[in-house]
Amino acid sequence: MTNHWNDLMNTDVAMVMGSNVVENHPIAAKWLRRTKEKGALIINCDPRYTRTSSFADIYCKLRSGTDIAFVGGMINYALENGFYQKDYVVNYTNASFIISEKFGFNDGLFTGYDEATRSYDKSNWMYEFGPDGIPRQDKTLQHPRCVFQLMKQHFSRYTVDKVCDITGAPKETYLQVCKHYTSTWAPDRVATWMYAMGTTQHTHGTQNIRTYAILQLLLGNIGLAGGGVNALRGESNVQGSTDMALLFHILPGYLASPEKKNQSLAEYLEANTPKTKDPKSANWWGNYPKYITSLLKAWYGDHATAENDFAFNYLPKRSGNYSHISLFEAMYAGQIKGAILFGQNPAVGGPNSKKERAALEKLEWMVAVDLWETDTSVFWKRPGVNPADIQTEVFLLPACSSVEKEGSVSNSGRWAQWRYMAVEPQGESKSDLWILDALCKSVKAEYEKGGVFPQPITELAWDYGNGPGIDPHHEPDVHLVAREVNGYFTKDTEINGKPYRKGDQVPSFAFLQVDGSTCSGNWLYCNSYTGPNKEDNKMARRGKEDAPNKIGLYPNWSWCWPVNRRIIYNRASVDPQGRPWSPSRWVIRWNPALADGKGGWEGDVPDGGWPPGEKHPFIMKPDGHAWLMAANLADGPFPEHYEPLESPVSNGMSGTQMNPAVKLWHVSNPEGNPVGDVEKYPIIGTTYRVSEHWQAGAMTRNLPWLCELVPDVFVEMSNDLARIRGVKNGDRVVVTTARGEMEAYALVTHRFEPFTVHGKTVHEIGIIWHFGYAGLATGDSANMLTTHVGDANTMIPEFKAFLCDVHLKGAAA
Amino acid sequence: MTQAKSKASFGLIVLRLLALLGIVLIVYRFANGLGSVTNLSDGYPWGFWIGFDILAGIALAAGGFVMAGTIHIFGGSKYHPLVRPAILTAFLGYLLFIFGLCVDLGRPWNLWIAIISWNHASPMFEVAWCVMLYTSVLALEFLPVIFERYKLTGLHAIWKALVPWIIIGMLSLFTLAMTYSVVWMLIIGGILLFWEIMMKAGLMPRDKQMPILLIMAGIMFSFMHQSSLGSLFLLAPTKLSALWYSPILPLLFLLSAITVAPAMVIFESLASEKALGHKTEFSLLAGLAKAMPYLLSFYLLLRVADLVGRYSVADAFTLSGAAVSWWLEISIGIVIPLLLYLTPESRDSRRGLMWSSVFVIVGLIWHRLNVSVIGIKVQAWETYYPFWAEIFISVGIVSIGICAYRWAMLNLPICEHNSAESS
Amino acid sequence: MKAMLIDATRCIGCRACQVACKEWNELPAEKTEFFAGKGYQNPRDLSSKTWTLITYNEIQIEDRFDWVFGKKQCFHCNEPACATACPVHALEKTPEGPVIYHADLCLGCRYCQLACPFLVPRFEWDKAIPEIRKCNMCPSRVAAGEEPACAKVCTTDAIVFGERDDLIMDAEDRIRRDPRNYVHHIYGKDEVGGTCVMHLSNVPFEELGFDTSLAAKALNKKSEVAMKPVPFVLAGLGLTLGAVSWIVNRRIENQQNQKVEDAS
Ligand SMILES: Nc1nc2c(c(=O)[nH]1)N[C@H]1C(S)=C(S)[C@@H](COP(=O)(O)OP(=O)(O)OC[C@H]3O[C@@H](n4cnc5c(=O)[nH]c(N)nc54)[C@H](O)[C@@H]3O)O[C@H]1N2
Ligand SMILES: Nc1nc2c(c(=O)[nH]1)N[C@H]1C(S)=C(S)[C@@H](COP(=O)(O)OP(=O)(O)OC[C@H]3O[C@@H](n4cnc5c(=O)[nH]c(N)nc54)[C@H](O)[C@@H]3O)O[C@H]1N2
Ligand code: SF4
Ligand code: SF4
Ligand code: SF4
Ligand code: SF4
Ligand code: SF4
Ligand SMILES: [Mo]
Repeated sequence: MTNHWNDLMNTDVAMVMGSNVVENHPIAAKWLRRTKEKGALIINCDPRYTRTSSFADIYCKLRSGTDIAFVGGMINYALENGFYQKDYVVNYTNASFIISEKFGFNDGLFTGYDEATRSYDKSNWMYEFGPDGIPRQDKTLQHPRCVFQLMKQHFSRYTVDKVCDITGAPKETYLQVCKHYTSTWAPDRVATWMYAMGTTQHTHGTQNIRTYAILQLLLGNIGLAGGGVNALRGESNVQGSTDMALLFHILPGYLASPEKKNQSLAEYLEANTPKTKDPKSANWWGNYPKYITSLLKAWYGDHATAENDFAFNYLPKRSGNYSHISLFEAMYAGQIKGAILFGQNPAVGGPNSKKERAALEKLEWMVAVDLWETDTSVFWKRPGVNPADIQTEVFLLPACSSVEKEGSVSNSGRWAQWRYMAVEPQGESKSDLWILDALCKSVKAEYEKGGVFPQPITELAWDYGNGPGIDPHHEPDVHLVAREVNGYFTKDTEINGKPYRKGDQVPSFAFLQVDGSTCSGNWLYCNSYTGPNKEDNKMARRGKEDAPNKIGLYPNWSWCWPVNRRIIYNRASVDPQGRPWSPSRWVIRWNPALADGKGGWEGDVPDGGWPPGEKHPFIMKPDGHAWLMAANLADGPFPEHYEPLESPVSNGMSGTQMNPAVKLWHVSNPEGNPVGDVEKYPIIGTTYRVSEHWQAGAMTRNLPWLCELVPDVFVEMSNDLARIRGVKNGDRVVVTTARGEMEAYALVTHRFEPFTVHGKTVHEIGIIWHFGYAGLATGDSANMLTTHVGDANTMIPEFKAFLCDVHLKGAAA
Repeated sequence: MTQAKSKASFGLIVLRLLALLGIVLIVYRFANGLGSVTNLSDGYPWGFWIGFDILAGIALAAGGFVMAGTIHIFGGSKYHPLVRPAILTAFLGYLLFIFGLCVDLGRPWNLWIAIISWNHASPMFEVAWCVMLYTSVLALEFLPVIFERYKLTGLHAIWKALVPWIIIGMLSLFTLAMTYSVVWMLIIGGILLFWEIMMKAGLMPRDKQMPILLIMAGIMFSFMHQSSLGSLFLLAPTKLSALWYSPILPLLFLLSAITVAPAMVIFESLASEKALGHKTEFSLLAGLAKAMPYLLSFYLLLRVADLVGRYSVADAFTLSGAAVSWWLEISIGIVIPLLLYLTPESRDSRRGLMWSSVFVIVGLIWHRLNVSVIGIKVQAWETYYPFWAEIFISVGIVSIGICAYRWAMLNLPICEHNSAESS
Repeated sequence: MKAMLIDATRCIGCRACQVACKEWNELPAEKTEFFAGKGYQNPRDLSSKTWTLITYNEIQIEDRFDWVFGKKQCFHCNEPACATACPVHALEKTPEGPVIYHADLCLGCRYCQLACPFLVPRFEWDKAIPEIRKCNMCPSRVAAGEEPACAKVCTTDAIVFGERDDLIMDAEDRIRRDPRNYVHHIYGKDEVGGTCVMHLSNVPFEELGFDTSLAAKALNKKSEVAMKPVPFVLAGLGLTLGAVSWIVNRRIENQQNQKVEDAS
């Protein structure tokens, strides 16, 4: 989230699109309710009417997979009617930047497309630079090749009629949504946008989010209290784990994971450190070298020296994409011998589970580290297989749950909150930290005995205070981990005249050094643990005082990255003179009286302390401006509507049916990846969650109280479709796709309605995906239906739209 | 008598089997909970047992106090031969009723708690106390039979001396429990004491059979709980159909209990005549029957007036099960017997009296079932109908009762009463 | 007197309350299948194992579709019919508000069930040693100055716990501030003499399954009519019966004496 949970109470209009916030992040409703009762408007756009819709003032339906068309139309509406905050757009976004002549767009394709590799040459979308090396701008926004004009042209195609024709949204409701949402273009009105998996789990998920960002920027809603583009993160600590490099393409702190082509630290830095010639651009990522050096120092300690590139070449170099689908395709192809699954249950949560379960069988060994015996850990005795036929050796390590151990949890709002052990670990369970520590020590011990290239392992700096061996009775010291994550000085150093001694904690990332005199396990968390004692652990703070601006920042409650900045991009919340756009809920403001008349910021921690106007506000961008047009994405600089891989209709916007930059697994790896067609599978299927269950279900399908609430997997469908298929509420039905089938109860409801798309009726059904064969409450998994296809940029699976059919159990398909 | 015995033997075997089945079911119920033998539910927590065993059972046992009152207070001494059977039925009836109640109560072992934990606002509390005390009164009333049978004259004398004080104690305590008021306790206790002193002083005629206070207590407790059984339902205005729900429900319960009493005595006499061969003088029965038209017409009048007064007449003319049941109750239980009692042919024959009494009794049972089961409607709840085991447990209890009655009639000086009087 | 105010316009149907109630009161889960009511409702109804239940009501009012969530539980009536009914004070209205149950006193007569106009008390039909079970407003929490478990966990403050008078003011205030979003009635403020669990709603209360036919008068007033005269009737009977028997027997005695005299 650019903002954070409490901040939802500051908004005028809250858009919930692409998430079901009330069901999946119920506590958010606490804050939304407060603003709602003050008169704010809540809008919800979702293919079906949910508990969020019931909470909302306006509910608008849209067909799954059509967010870009929907929001593209809103962007067009704002631009056509002049509902955008011009000062903000001109000064803070790249609207005025002039784009290379090479840029063009035709029938759904941007220039630079190579059909053979299904990829773009992004250099076609670059800025035009002036002789000073700074991008050329036209602050009047009139230049035909300025971003603003290109954008306007692009979205002019998204007329209201076209949008409603594609999305199936009722026109009147759609216009209401447009009207109310864009009303926040006024500088002192703000809207927030809340999204999650309804947005991301598409072949064009990233571009879905881009549409939200563009609209928010046009309306001047980013950086302000009650504004922002807010990704409602999923697992309770998924924000923290992403910060710490959950994903294959990043190292801690969102540093790029080295690729094969980065043969030296210099090459790596050259590829990843952005540059700028604009003196007003802070270009924060210019600090890249400091961050990677400090990280390497944290990992390899004294073994990381300037001479050996700080052990850069100890890091594995990746060649390609190691995201979920790729890994399971490789596993299925027999290229992966073993797998350690730490707290995940892909037999239920992974797409195309029939194939993924089969892929697990190809493993020689598998370790599951979990609180429960999950569907994945018993995959070898799942219904329909003969355990004797499966050779995989499976180990189940019992892990402690979050209440049985101490440590931090980072929530969606980036708040890292320290928690304590509430109960002793049950049975033989061990904390993940203990398990990892023991694992590392054993692997190290093995490599001490020799190996091809043992140093990356043997030279790891690894001491978390529980001795050299594996001691089942002694936990590693999680505070040592936290202090290393923050970072400390590796030798006596002086910075800006202030001396620091070896071993002192680094006060904040501004102090991290490129010469190896500092270490930091994650530069973003530098400032979280600033002294040797437990009292210096800022994540453990529980201060209940709000900041003077009284917008719910609570700066002394826990700690938040970066440097306790609660609302990021907050320099955009003020005009170039430092005056808040929305004075009644100011985030920061420039007070000339501070600092003995030199002036200073008050309120939240500003995005850099420079006086107003001195630096562009979007400091993480090399040009200091927010990108309405973004040349860095795989599938185009502007969002464009494409249909999902499986869709019942043809693309109403262009002749390019689906996202042209998506990897087509069914083409490269056809086995087990069939794609269905509309003749056989005329109905759109989508999958989602309910409040009562958690994810793949191990944590809730084992709890009787929750099983009582939702005991079985069910399919929601409209009355119309139920009538056509002869299904009544409570009947057992079978849902089929090209990949598999599942059985479920039918929940026939007014809350799902058919769509009219291109003049035809299109039906959609939705299935909860929490069920599997292990645990107390069991049922078929919705992922029997889903596909191995993912977003062009992230490869997150397209869980939210596919083709299926549904019929009464026992009836002929 | 011997002839009667053998005649009854087939029926007797059936009765004993039914009693046995009842007991087996009751054991099963205590092991597995009420749900195992009943169709009761949280929406319909009271069913057949409450309606039949308890509400109807108690009303049918009203013969005891009515006869005792008639004879000892109102001086209808010619009915003396009927008083002991009536007391026996009442006593047995109450014992069985308490037994049935224990089967119905979820936690019968706590029944005694009612003695120490008082909620005088609860009609149920009143019922509980009256029943406990009235059963004691009946026991006291019945004791002379035992004394006689076993010639315990000494005990009889002690009994005579103690009874008034026991009664004064009981009623005073009862008053205290019902009012939480010492003043009221003293008033009621005082009144009774006054009569006792009057008697001791010879200022008041003494009944030779029963201490008058005992009879008075029986009547007072009966009045209280016969009516408060009706009060029970005053707390369910949203559940009981307007055909029966009425603020005068307690009065209607009392009145109907009084009405059924002569009919019940007639029925019992005729039935035991059939089964056991005791002949009862027809004139006595005919005399009782004379009261019936008055009682029935008054009751009918009150029922109709009540319905009219509550603007609920229309309810009787709807096409619902409840309305049908109401019409059947009124016609079978009141109108038909009224006509029969008014018809000389019927009035003057044992058969006629038997039938008219049966109608009255069935009508009363029907009324109680109407109030407690048929007339209760809980929205959005599957309606209740008794499970077979419920019925067979009730049948079992009744069978036990009949067997006990038979035993008592055969072995205790119930009917050779005249001899007692002359002694 | 403590009370709870439940605002259907705030409730998001998350059922945290339903689970928290089971957790705090250590109630077992029920065996369910699919859904037992509309929407996601489970179980079918309150029971000895389920003291509070969220209902899912799909409501079409004119052209607006609404999904509104209702909460069932004991109302903790100011003058509870259940406690009036209970012969032994096994159900007790405490001065703090909660209507609580003492199993050690209970006879299991189930009169409380018949008397409760809201069908709240539930009986353990399947147990050899059964109890009446119902929401008791978490009295141990309340005594410790805490709010009831369900109110504590409520995500959106749809349940607020506090002094009854304050809550009524709060409720009136909410209606005044947003008159178009509320039915202008606080359910439970007056019903059956007022209750300590009150509800606000944006749809007519009967749509949420509430009985809107209940009068403002407490039900115990209905039985009071019959209970109040008890001592008078007793005194009257005592006097009358004594007098009647005196007169009657005197007459008989006189007659007999007469006869004896006549005969002599
Ligand atoms: N109770 C509970 N809470 C959870 C979780 C849980 O399992 N249970 N999981 C957590 C995790 S890991 C995550 S990632 C989050 C996910 O949180 P959400 O994203 O809210 O989760 P979903 O229910 O998968 O999907 C949200 C909504 O997207 C809608 N939808 C489907 N297709 C489309 C579409 O094309 N466009 C739009 N706009 N909407 C669409 C669905 O109808 C659904 O209502 O929740 C977290 N919170
Ligand atoms: N069809 C469909 N599929 C989906 C989605 C969808 O919307 N539709 N959503 C996707 C999304 S967003 C996500 S995040 C994934 C989630 O997929 P998974 O992450 O596989 O699902 P979880 O059930 O959350 O698995 C987490 C496991 O961690 C265990 N656990 C909990 N705490 C600890 C701990 O402290 N230590 C250890 N070692 N284990 C612990 C839990 O018992 C649980 O089994 O599913 C994806 N799958
Ligand atoms: S599940 Fe946990 S994180 Fe989510 S709303 Fe509930 S308490 Fe908060
Ligand atoms: S709702 Fe029913 S159980 Fe609860 S206090 Fe009122 S009468 Fe008693
Ligand atoms: S069942 Fe128990 S709590 Fe209910 S009225 Fe009877 S004795 Fe009282
Ligand atoms: S007040 Fe306590 S007992 Fe009652 S519903 Fe809430 S949590 Fe359950
Ligand atoms: S916890 Fe609150 S919001 Fe959730 S269902 Fe219960 S009352 Fe409604
Ligand atoms: Mo997620």
